[in-house]
Amino acid sequence: MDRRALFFLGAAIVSAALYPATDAQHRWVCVALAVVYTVLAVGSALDAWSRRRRHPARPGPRDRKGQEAGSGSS
Amino acid sequence: METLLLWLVVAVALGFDYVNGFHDAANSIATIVSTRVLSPRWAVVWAATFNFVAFLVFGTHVADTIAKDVVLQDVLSIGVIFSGLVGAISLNLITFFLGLPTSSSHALVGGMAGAAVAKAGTHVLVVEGIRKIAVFIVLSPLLGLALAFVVFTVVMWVFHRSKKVDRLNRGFRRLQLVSAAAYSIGHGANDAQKTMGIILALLIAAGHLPKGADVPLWVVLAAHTAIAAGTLSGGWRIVKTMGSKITRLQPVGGFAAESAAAATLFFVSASGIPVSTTHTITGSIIGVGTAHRVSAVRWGVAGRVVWAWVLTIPIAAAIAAATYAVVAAF
Repeated sequence: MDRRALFFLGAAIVSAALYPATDAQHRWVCVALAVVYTVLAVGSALDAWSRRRRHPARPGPRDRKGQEAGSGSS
Repeated sequence: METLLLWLVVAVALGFDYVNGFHDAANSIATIVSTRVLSPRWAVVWAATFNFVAFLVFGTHVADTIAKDVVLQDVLSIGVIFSGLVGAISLNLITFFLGLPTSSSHALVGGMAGAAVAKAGTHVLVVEGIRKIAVFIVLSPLLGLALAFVVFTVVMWVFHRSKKVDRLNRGFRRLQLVSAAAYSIGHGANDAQKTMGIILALLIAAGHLPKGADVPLWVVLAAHTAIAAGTLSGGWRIVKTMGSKITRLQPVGGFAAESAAAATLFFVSASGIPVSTTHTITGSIIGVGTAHRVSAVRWGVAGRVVWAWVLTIPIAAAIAAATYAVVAAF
């Protein structure tokens, strides 16, 4: 999963977890942050997914070396 | 003798405020210096002015929280407050040398709590007040981060088709003056009020003011003058270093980070919650970095902030408790 999406998901969980400890007057802050971070997590995951679809991962340097070595031996 | 001690501790509290201004000036103006909107010298004058102006904008809710919502007022004495200040200052010095980005606000709360517990036991702690402060230790950077991410993304989305990049940058450089001023007001409001709270608690403890009294005007002016003088006198040296060391932020990124941090500080100051201004701006800068890509963020810094959250209050409390044991012996 995308690292940014994971980070936002973690922030959403922390915000939600603080809800019971927060005084009644400020609980809306926890709710608002949990919602915003969840939206950002979903948005980031979708963004990463669409990028992967448009630009499929290229082989890394090691893979290329392996492929070149393979093609040289054949 | 007691009056002399009282004024000595007031002077220590104002010294703490002065160092806070000296040390935190870089947070509010490093971005306008690194983007060359203002020279370092004019940037500190700009920040110091708005640090001072803050007393006209916000009330003294944060000062009331520090003075009345951390420990029961009956237990406060000159010795307790002096020990609390020693705990906070010692921790700040230790973490300054270790390079940990701790918060002087949390150190103050920990120091006062530790000294009061050493004097009279844990029942003197105001659990509700401490819980509110502890929750916002974590929430304020998260709030700054989310706001900065949203502001930066919206601005980039609105202007991404613009081909006049130079004109845009000029516009955001001017807007950075406004965002830096707003952040300096937020910094002045939240950090100067912590010192006001300490002095208010001292005056009540020494019997110069009745319990439940509001912060006197001279205390408000003295605290804002101390933080502005600290910013003015030495901040530009730190800013010069930071301006060349930090990652070069574009004007739009600096504007987004400062506006988000300022909005967060306005909200918490109006609600009477003492938070770390350093952690709030760190969260906001991380928000702008995350909007670029996750690898643009120095996660080591974020990790050290988390350690600072965990360690500051208990260590400051322990040092303050030990100091009180020595003070009580005399």
